[in-house]
Formats: sequence, structure tokens, C-alpha cells
Amino acid sequence: MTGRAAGVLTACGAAAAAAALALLPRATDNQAVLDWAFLVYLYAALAQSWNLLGGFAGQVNLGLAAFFGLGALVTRTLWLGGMPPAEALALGTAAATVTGVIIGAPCLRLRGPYFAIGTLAVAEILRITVGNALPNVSSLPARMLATYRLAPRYELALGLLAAVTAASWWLTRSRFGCGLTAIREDEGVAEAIGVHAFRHKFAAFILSALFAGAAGGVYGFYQLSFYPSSAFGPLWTFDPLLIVYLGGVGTVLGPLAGAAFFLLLREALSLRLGDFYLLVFGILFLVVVIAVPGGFMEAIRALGRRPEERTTP
Amino acid sequence: MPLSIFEQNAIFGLLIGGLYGLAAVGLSLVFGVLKILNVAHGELLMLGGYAAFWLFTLWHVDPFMSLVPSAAAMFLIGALLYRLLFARLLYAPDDLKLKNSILIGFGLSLVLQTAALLAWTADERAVETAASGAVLPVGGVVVPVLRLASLGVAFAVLAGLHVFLQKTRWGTAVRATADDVEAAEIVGIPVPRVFLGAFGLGSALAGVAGALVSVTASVNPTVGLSWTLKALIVVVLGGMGNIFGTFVAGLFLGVAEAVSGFVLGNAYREIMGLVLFLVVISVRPQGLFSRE
Amino acid sequence: MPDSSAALLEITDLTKAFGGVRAVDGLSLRVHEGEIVGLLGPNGSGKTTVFNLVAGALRADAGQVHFAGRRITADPPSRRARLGIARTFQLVRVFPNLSALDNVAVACLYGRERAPSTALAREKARALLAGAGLTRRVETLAASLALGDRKRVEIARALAGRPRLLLLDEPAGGLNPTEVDEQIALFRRLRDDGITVMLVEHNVRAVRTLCDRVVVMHAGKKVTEGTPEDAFGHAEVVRVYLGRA
Repeated sequence: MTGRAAGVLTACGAAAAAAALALLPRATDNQAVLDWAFLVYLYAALAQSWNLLGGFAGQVNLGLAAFFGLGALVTRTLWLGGMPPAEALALGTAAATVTGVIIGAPCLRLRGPYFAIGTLAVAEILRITVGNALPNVSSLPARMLATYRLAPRYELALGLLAAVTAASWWLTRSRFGCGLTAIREDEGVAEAIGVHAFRHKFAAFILSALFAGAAGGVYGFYQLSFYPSSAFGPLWTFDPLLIVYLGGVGTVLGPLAGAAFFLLLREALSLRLGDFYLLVFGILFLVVVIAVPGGFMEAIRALGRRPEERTTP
Repeated sequence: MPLSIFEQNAIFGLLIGGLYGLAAVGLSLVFGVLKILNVAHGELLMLGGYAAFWLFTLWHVDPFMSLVPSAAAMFLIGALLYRLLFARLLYAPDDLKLKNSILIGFGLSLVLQTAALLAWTADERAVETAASGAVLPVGGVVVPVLRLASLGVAFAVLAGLHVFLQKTRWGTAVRATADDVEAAEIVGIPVPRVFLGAFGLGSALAGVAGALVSVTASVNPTVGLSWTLKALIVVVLGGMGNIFGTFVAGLFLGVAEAVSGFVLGNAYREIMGLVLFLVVISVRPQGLFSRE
Repeated sequence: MPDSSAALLEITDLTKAFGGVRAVDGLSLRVHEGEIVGLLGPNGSGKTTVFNLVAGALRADAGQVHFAGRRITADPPSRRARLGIARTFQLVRVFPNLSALDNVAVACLYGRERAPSTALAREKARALLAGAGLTRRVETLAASLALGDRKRVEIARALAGRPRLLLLDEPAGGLNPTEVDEQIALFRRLRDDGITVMLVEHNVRAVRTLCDRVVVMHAGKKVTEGTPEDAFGHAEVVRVYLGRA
């Protein structure tokens, strides 16, 4: 089968799957299932957004929560203030994207580990500032609680996941995405063949911020009550990171598989173990990063690859 | 009088700055020798704090006496963590090594934080001795005795480290490995053991800092991240590889935080350091005091 | 035949220091279109630094680099690649986790001439690899290829954007005589295709057979330039390579 035909088939398959999933709320009234699915989509979307920069371009952003938090904060505030949800989400996403533009350029100029630490520092600055400025919990007022329905939120999250997965998929087939991969593999060589590293990384950074912000906005609609600063917390960076590594960094399907597994595990563990589950997750993350760096997708691919093609680590 | 409150704040900042410097030197040592960034350094500090707290609470060990067993315990814990998590990384190319070490550190910090939370709850723990409230009036300000003593201890530990690195065989081996791993291997230095020892030493230094924190302030399971960031800020301000410079940078950060807390309000103290960090790494990534 | 009017590459008073050491010290040289120029000199004479300065991996402290009449001294490497400068590295650098084919395909999407789609880029890559002598194992991960094959990948990758100037840094390093012969034949074909080549090389046979002209460097400065025969006979050249003649 030619590459073209395979691509079209994949796109059709994905569209069919998305359509089927979109119909789920009509097929079932089970709120627990819908809720779990919503979270899978949300976490997968957030993981995909990290993957755009971290997986494809190889830049480890430890401050993803900054964009998620901004999207959540701005969307929530505007929506509770009376703005229609679509506009609130658009502005929340815009706020995160603009912030990405502002801090992206200086952050990406940082060499080596400073990029990771710098982005972490930014997220912490925002978390502390928001925590000081808005220390009170944000709760949905009674009238909104009365009309709260999970189904539209489910569809929104699915739509977001479809969008960011499409973007990911586009990266694997486009010149821009190839450039990112080249940068990840060897930035000096990438520059030598004509890839303007900074511009590529910057574009990926902004794209990542955009989708993370949108995910935050979706969370802002979903969560009944939360402290605004909690959306900026390190767990909102760590969980997507774990998901990406579980599923396979730099792949399109990895974050999806990882998110499903992650949320299944979290459900199962937190019921039995309460707070212990975080410990298990932390250890799981360490095991994956150290021993199985390619995650699920790598394991699947390795089964199909001929022995002489295995890379030496 | 406002001026003396300002001075009071500045003195407090100076006193805690010594601990910042101590924490930073541990991190800097690990990075300099192993070329990995241990973002769980703050959690090791936190563990050291708990060690001091429990030694005092359960067995009434004087906090300054407990520094030695705490440091030893943290050395061993650090060595173990190194073996389990970081040892395999050491022969990867530099950029991959750094990236993976950051990820591993991130995961480790979560594990340690959660473990501490489960074991000891989220309560603040502090070592309260008879001397806890004692102060020394100096000029127009009061200097808490324990904090002054901590500063002294921090300084003494760093001086001892300096002597170790400069005058002993193992210290020279450490410095050689930091300078050029391949050359060190060629001349017969047991590099894997140096790596293990350096990581253990860095952890021990974090542990001592943590013990001093539990004496002069308090610890809880979540203090790790903020101390890691402080250590990083100080390392960046002071430049890598220079113990004295790092110590001074720590004092500087302490005072800068205190001043900004005084001027902007306590809530924004934490941010000062982070903002300073971002400014410095953007403008002069090699640090304020380094000679590059 | 070399075009004697404007030079394709013109370096004027180029200087680059590391710490207190001047790796390149007031170097001036010209490369004309269609030439194969050798850059020779003992280890540490500054040859790879010159390449890095021309390719843009390093910024010069002083001096100018002109390419096809344009001043490129401050241009980033990606810009220079766009203008038509391509290079290989002294220690082969391939994208380790990509196949040989993808290594070259990525380069076909960038550079002076860009393939319009990823599919066409892969086709072009296949042809380039074949031209460089690699027909089997093109889907193999580049990191698991032997040195000779990795060098072929690097050369094919350098040619992917249809460069005007090719900088080859010790291409024969680590290769056996048969492989060196294949390389010489390949580079001759490149010149016939209109590509100008500057190479750093220690292999005397390769230099003699390939180079129209050589420039000999020592301690960052130019010692002499001329045909290989002239250079090899030059007393100063013998001295810098071997000590007192």
C-alpha cells in the first residue's frame, strides 16, 4: 500500500472512531463512564500538547501547567462572569497562547537544562502569584450547578483531543514536523541542513501552549470547584509527562494509549490505596523512563522490527 | 523604627542565605562531577530535616549533634538512589543524560514527597529546643542564636568541603573527574566510585542543610521543590564550581528575598528569587561570579 | 575549468579565538566555482574551525565571509544552507534514530532546493543514497550502520538541498583504500555536476588526485597555497608537518 493510501485510510479510520465516540452520550446514561472518558480525553489532549514540543522536538518543558492553569483561570473567570462559553474558551486559549509567545522566545534561548528549569520557574511564579492574588476557591453558582450536564463537556473534550491529535498527525507528515525531529536528533546538524532551529522550536512551543491552554479551558468548564492556583501545580505537568512516556514519546497514538492506561490505573489504585497511588505512579514513571524509554508504542514496534535494526542504546 | 526593621529583615535574610548556599553547593557538586541535574535535591534536603526532627523527638539527640548521623544517613540514601536511578545514565551522550536526569529527578521528587506525606503527614515539623527562642541583641537588631549558629555550621561545613576537595586524595579525584572524565579514567581514578561518592556527598550536604532548616524553621513534605529551585537559583547566580562564590550567592539571595519581602509584602518573597533566576539565565547564563 | 572572475567563497582576515588561543588568525582565501580546494595542515592548525566559521556553526571574532557575492558573516547556519553551503562533519553525525532514508529525506525538505512533499523527498533521498553508493539497508536505523555507510548517508544528506559549495571534513578518515577510491570517484562526479568542493584531508593520495589547489594552514594562519605538488614540496610545509626538515 502506498504512503498516500495508508494516510487516507488512517484518517478515515480516525474520523470513524471519533464519530463513534461522539455518539457515546446517546448510547449510555452512565455518568461514571462518561466522566472517565472525559478525563481520558482531557489528559490525552494535555499529553499530546506536551508531546508536540517534548516528543517531536525533544525540548523538555517542565512548565506545561503554566498554560493549562492560565487557560483554566481565564476561561473560568470569564464564563462565571457571564460570557458565553465559546468566547470564554477562545479567550482562555488566547491568553495561554499569548503567554507562550511572550515567554517562549526568552525560554528557548536557554541552553541545556536551563530551558526545563526556566519553564518550571515560570510555572511556579504563576502558581504562587495566582495563589496570592486569588486565594479563594472558585465554585459554580447554584444556577449553573442545576443545569450542569456532562454530555456537552464530553463532546468538547473529544473535539479538543481530535484537534490536537490531528495536529500531531500532521507533524509526522509535514516538512515542519520533519524539521522538529531533526532538531531533536541533532540540533547542530539540523541547522546545517537548513532548519532554522529557533523558529521551529518557537512555533512548536506556541502550538503546545495553545492546546494546553485549551485543555485548561475545558477543565475550567468541567470542574465544579477548585482553587485557581491548583491548576498551575506541578502535577498538571507531571501527569501528562507520565502519560506520554507510558505511551511512547514522539508518537501520535502513544498519549492516547497512555491516558487510557493512566486513568484506569488511577481509578483502580485510588480506590484501594487512597493517597498511595501517587507513590505508585511516581515509581511507574521512574521505571518507564529508565527501563522502557519508548513506552507502549516502542514495545509494539520492537515486536515488528528485524533484529539487526534494533538500536544500540 | 522602619530602618531597623529593614535591617532586621536583611539580617534574617543573611542568616537563611547561608543555608541556601549550603543547599546549592550540594547540587553544584553533583552537577559538576556527574553532569546531571538532580531536581529532587530539595526532597533530599527535606529528608535530612525529618531525620534531624525524628532523632530529636524520639531519642532527644541534640540537633547539632544529629548532624553527623543525618549526614551519614543521607550519604547512604543518596548513594543508593544513585545506584538505582542514575548510574545507568552516566554513559549516555551529554544532552540525553541531562534531559533524562531531569525527568528522573522529577519522578523521584514526586515519589519522595508522597512517601514523606504518607509516612509523616503534612504537618509542619520543627525541632524545638530550649535555645529555640534565644536571641542576641546586636546594635539595633536581634539575632536569633540558633540561626546564627546554623550560619556558622553551614560555613564550617563548606570550609571543610573546600579542604577535602583541595587537600585530600579523594577530593582531588573528585575535582579531576569533574574536570575531564576521560582523562580521570585514563590516569586510573575509579570514576564509578567517584560518581557514587559525589552523589552521596551532595545528598549529605542537602541533608545537613535540611537538618539546619528543621532547627531554624520547619519542614513538611512539600518543601522540596521550593528548596530545589532556591538551590538552582543560587547555583546560577554564583556560577558553577566555585564554593565560595556559591556561598556568597546564597547570602545574596537571602538578602534579596528579605528586602523584596519587606518592600512588596511577604507573599511575593518566593517570586523574587525565581524572577532573579530567569533574569540572570537570560542575560548571563554562566552566572554572576564565574569567570567564563 | 575554474571561473577566474568572482570567487564563490571569499574569506577575508577571518579570526576566531578560544580563550587566549587564536584558532584562526587573519585568514584570507578564495574558492572559485567548480574548483576542488584542499585545506591542509597539521592537527590543531584551525582547519575545522574554518569550516565551522564558513558553515556558520561558529561566529567570527573578526573578518568577513562572502558567498556568491553576499556577506554571510552574521548569517545563521540554516540561512547559509539555504544559500547553498552544505557540510559533513569530522566525526560523522547522522540522526541516530532515523533510517538512512529519512536522514536524507529530511534534508531534501530543506536547503537551497526543497522537495514539495515528504513523499517526493523520500524518492529523491533514495536516488541520492544510490548515487552515494548505498542501495541496500536504506530503511535501517542510521546508528546501526557501519562507518563507511554512515559517511555515505552524510554525503547524500549534504547533497540533498542541491548545494553550490560542499565542505567535507576529513571524508576519508577511518576508511580503507577501496572506500577511499570510491569516494574520490564520487567527488570527481560532483565537480562534473557543478558543485564546488572544499575539503579538509590528511590522505595525501586523495589530495593529490582530487585537488586543483591546496591551502596549507598552521597555527591559524595560511602558510602557502598552490597546486598539491607545489605545496608538498614547499619547505615551510614540510617543516610544519614534520618539524625541522
